[in-house]
Amino acid sequence: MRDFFKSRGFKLLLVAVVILLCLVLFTLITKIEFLSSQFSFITAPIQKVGTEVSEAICELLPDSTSSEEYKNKIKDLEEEIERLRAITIDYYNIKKENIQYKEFCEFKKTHANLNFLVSSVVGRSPDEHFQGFTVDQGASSGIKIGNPVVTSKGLVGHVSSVGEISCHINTILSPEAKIGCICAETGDCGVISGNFKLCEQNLTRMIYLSPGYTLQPQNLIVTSGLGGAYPKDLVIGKVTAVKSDENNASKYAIIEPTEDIPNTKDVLIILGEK
Amino acid sequence: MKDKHSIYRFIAYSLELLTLFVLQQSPQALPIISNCKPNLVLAALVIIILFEGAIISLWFSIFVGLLLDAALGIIPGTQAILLCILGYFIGYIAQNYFKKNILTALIISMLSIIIFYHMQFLLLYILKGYSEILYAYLNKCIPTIIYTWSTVIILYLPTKFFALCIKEKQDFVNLENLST
Repeated sequence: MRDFFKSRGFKLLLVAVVILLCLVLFTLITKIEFLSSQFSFITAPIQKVGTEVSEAICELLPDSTSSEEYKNKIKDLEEEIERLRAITIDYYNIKKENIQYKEFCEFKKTHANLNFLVSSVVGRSPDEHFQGFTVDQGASSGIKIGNPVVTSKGLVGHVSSVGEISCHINTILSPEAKIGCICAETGDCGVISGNFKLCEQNLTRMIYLSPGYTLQPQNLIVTSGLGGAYPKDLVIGKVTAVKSDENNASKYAIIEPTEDIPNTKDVLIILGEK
Repeated sequence: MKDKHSIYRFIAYSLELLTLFVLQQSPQALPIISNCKPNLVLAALVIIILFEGAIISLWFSIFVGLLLDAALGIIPGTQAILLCILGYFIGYIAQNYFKKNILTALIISMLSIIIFYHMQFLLLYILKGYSEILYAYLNKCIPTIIYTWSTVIILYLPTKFFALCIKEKQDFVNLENLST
């Protein structure tokens, strides 16, 4: 035992412990990490190499994640995708509605002297010949037969029959439309009255053109306001062509309405002037 | 008991007709072929007429006629009168001279739909003075007839279910005797 404590090895041990203790005390007192910073010059590159090698080896080895875990992950991700998809659809719907309401708002500001009622299309009968439709407002909201119906893009038609909570709209594609109109550029007057063939292409006619007409394709047609049934300057559509009728007795202009009437979803019904 | 079953059956028919009415009126619920949509209510009515006979057919024809008048925004009763006369006669003929199966349903429905649509075209298009009669006839009336008739095959089974399942047992026996 005495020989153990007197041995060379034990003495070396004692020296090493003392040196290390001094180093610790030195680092604690002076806060200078002299030795560790010197070591990092050697250890950091070695650690980097070691990490890269171990990552490369891990990539080569087969994945230890079980298929059950992957299935659960996929299921969670699919649910997340569905949830986000639903939100996206809602977002686009709300955005579309917002754009439409902004257009309605602008239209109302432009025609500030008129009273409007917003209404939604709720029915399109299969027996309709001229794209007429039913909306969800009726006599209880103050609607009367003959009230003009518009959208932010232009005139759509007029109220042809009224129930308590719904009413039926005859469109400008119908021969019964009979709307007094005028060309905004040339001043040519006429009457809007559609027919079945043109209605199928979402077009209507401006009939009773005077012999000296000057309107051209792309001219804008608006309501003339004559007769009092429709307010003045409501946009109807644009001229696409001028043709002769079947008897060659008169000319008529083919009008493309500004509104896509077969696909209209919301309309403004003009109740009258303020 | 017989009346109770009849009432349930008529309620079932009414709900079926109303559901089909809402479906055909909804802007984008049904596929549009050649600018036409099928008249599902009419197709279902014809099958009801086949199973129920003259008197019941009369009442349901009036009901469907009023629905169709409301949908078009025309004077109530215009198509109701057409349909009630048609429904009564077709119901009488079907009750006394025809067996009740899919083949007779197709034949009777074809005849009924053709007659109805021609009368409707006469009343609501020709007599109103609209132009291009032949064009509208070929491009609207005929495709609508064909499209409506094609839905009879689909509507036959649910309507037959109501007609046969919501009945008294004695009525079942009578119906089976009529069919053989």
